[in-house]
Amino acid sequence: MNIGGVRKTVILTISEPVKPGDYVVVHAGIAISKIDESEVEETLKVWKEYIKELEEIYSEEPS
Amino acid sequence: MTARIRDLYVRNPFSREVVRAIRELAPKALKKIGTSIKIMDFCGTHEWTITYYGLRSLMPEGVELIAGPGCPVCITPGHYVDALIKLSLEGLNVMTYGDSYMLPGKIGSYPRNLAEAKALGGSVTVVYSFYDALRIAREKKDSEHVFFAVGFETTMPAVADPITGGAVPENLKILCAHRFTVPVVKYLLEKVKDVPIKGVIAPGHVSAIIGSEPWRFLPEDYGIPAVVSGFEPLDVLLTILEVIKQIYEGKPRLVNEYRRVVRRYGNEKALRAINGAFDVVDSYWRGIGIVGRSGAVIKERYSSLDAEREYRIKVIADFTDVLPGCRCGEVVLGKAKPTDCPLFMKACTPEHPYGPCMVSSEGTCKIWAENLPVIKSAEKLKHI
Repeated sequence: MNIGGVRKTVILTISEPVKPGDYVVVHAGIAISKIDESEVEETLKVWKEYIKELEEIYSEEPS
Repeated sequence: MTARIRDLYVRNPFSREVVRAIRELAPKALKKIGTSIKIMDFCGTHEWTITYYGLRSLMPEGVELIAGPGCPVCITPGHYVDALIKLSLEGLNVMTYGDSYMLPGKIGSYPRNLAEAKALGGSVTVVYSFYDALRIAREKKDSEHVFFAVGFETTMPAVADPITGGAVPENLKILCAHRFTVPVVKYLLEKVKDVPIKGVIAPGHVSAIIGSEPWRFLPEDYGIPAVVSGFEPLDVLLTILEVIKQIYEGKPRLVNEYRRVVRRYGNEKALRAINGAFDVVDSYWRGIGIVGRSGAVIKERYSSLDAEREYRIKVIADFTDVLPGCRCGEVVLGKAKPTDCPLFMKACTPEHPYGPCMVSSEGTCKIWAENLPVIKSAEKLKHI
């Protein structure tokens, strides 16, 4: 695998199939998880909506 | 505001909104529960993010971020270190991850750590991974090697997978110092009553292996909000916000903020390897004591690889590895801050670590030591 330009052999301990171009989390020489890129955008969208909902809580009562 | 926070706000303006939300919501949550909100992290890398970016200085009054037992090197018994020093001086090649290289042995040990053993002629090799240890053992067939296997669940598959896959050569033994995280969190909640935790930042990379599900006991059995978190400052800020929101609503639950990496039931392949290679036993944690069902030992069927059996290495929970004056045991449990220790940055520095928490990059003392200006400014603001 390629870590910021450095090539390194790691042990793949992931159940899901991994292909060149995928991003994985590497810890102490093993790939422990494949990064789900679709989740990155999706999660951020959910959190942004969440902050909007929270604004309703602020306005509910003065602290 | 630290320069690092300013950079963060420029790079990611959303993080400023999250901080604003934390500040708006915290007073309401505090009013609701009537005590301060102590949120504990259980991973050295979370502690690093919190400290490096100065997130403590952004917290409103009454919200405190505390470092818990998130550093495996810090709690690894000194007994193992002494045994490995002896083996290295007898001519065996001891292989270790870099962050255990300076880990001190028991009280009065000489040499004090594997680095000093090497300086005295011992054979010690720092490796990046167990994979490298396998390669070295295969290349140097005529010598005996022993690998110091330290780490929580995140690191366990590195050793477990080659064990179960039959990839470990006979001339390489494994000293298994692995520890499980969930039992120590339970231990802390049951036995350490003077640290009232109101929320947990659950470790992201441990959870990549075990899944988010094993943390469900926190909200269900203890009523404590638990959020599995990523390691970017925004991840940690969102996690803190979620914990405070749950406190405000009085509805503790388990949330996985790190969905891009952590699955509900974890990494099945890695878990299969861990369960196949290790048995679970009660084990000693340096500075803490015996924690029930928290240690991994190599299964009987792979006993020929087990350094503990081969070299008759014994760990007794006798606290002989708690060094005089060192408060690491309390720092690890969140009972003391590094700055409470009289040795911090005096007799104990990253260049010359005295206690185990100053050794690893995941140790709270080392993280604080390397970010002193941030710590000092947070102290001035009474955020620490």
